[in-house]
Amino acid sequence: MTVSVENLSSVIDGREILKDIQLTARQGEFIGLIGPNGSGKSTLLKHIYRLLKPDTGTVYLSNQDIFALPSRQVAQSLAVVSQESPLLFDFTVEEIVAMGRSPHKRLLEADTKADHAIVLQSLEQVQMQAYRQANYASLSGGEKQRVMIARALAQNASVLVLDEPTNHLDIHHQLQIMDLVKRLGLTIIAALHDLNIAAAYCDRIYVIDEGRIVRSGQPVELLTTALLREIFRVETDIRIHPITQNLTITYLSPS
Amino acid sequence: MLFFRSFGTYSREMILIEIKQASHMKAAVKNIPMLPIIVALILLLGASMTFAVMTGPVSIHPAAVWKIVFYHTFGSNMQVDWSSAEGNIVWNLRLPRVIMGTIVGAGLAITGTAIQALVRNSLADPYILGVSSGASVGATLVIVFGVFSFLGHYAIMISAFTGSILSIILVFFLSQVSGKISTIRLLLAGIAVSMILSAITSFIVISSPQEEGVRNALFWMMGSLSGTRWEYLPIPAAAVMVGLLLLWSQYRALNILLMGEEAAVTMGIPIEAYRKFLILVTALITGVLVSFCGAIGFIGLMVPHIVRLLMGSDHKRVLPVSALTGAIIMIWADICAREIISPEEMPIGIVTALCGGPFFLWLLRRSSYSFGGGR
Repeated sequence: MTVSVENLSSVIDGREILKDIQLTARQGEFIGLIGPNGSGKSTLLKHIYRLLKPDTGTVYLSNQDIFALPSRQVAQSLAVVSQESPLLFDFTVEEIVAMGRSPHKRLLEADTKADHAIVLQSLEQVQMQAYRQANYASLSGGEKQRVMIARALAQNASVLVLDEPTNHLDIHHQLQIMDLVKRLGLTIIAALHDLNIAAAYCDRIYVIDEGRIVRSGQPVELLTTALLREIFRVETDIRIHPITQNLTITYLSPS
Repeated sequence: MLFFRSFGTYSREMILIEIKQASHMKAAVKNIPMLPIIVALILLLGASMTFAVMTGPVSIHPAAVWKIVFYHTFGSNMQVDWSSAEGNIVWNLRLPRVIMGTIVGAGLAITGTAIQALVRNSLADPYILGVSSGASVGATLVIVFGVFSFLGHYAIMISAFTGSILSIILVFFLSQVSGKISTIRLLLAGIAVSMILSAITSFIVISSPQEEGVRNALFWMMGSLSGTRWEYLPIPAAAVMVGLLLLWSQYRALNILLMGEEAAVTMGIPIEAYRKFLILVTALITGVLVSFCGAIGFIGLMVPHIVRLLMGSDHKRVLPVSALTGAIIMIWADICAREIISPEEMPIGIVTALCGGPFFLWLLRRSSYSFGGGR
């Protein structure tokens, strides 16, 4: 499934937060969205998952305008994992993942064996099946994010939107979550904070600054010292790492 | 009370299970199978109702209670071995009141559950959006100044219901910002409107020309099941039954609502429409119950927490179990209200607060349940 954002602009409280955004994610592509704080990354994602409505332009999901579709139908093909959000009431891991089946259920329709199997399979994919009955609130940050990814998987969505999904996690869990998401082979649009992680996992990256997409391209071509100086106001040394063959960014000083 | 004792054994078992699992697993949310719980609660409800009908200034044998109930429901080809006074006490005085207690307890418990999900706040109860304070204005106007007296017996109910609906409409419009309902505004508007209406109620009560008016108004505001007749039952019963079915059919959405607005949108819940639906349903149920029985406190706050503590937060389980638990607690509270200072009667709100409060505090102190406050 492809996602394309076309000429999207959004004004919030009289301020133009997003200006004429163009973005495309092709089937199976891992798209990164980078930019400084307040540049509009999260706001753009919120438009893509329909939480906010644009003033002009729109978002297409395989050529269908998502704002013209019922929210339930969008939820059947697009799932979201955002930064860890506190859950105030006690739910088991299984109950949380089962919520992902909701967009596929009609009123009064009970959970079937198939739903149950999907829930278990989703938990297995994130290797959390042993925690089925555990209280979500008692899990660590990395485990919670894996459960959230399982919930998104249970939604059977082909597009996954990630809003800084590894924000509070230690480096082991950051890599674990990113590997996991990458392996799924879904169409992914992710706002990422860590430029090295963005360089390692994304097929293409969009750079957003002051509400505009200022550049886009493959990590190797896109991420240059000049760009990072201009957008992130930081001096860097960028090389291909001999072991990983990934682009590796070393921060030297704020410019 | 029986209910509290059985609750004690469950938690002890659960602690044992938790200790066993702790070595390889994080703390489990209570995962008790639902069907046995429902059956047990229905049996307990039946026993409680029977006991409530038996007890009173004239005590009546449980067999006689059941015979009288059978006689009236299934026809007259039965041997009458009870006095007509007994028949009258059971059928006309006590049974309608006990059934009303069941309806009100169940109704307050499910609206409390739904409101807590709607505003995502564990402090919320069915009256938080101002329904009861609106009803109080309406009811005290009737009690103190005798307005709408042409409506006869139903004057208080109609006036209270009108008050509750007007106040919820006010709160509803105050909480909208550019067509969207914000949860926190909804809560604050509810509290502010409640304060204003309570002030108006107080003013009405102290302007009462007679002492009796003050007493009656206070009694009404604390809530009471006294004077319930058969004719009063159909409307609250229908409201609670339809309400329970509507809310239960939405259990997935209620669960997702607890995850927050953003999660709800991404999982396909049309959140604005859904909030309006919940406000409407809970306000109608609460409005009906309050107008028949006054603002009986504590049940709507306490029961959802007790049930979540036992069953976890999944509304598929929480709603039906809350309904039964609320009904049982209400029946026992009414027994206490009738018996403690017999032959006088206490407002039932005093009992629910006096017995429920300490029990709730005990729960608060001892359990691992987070009360919707996270960890």
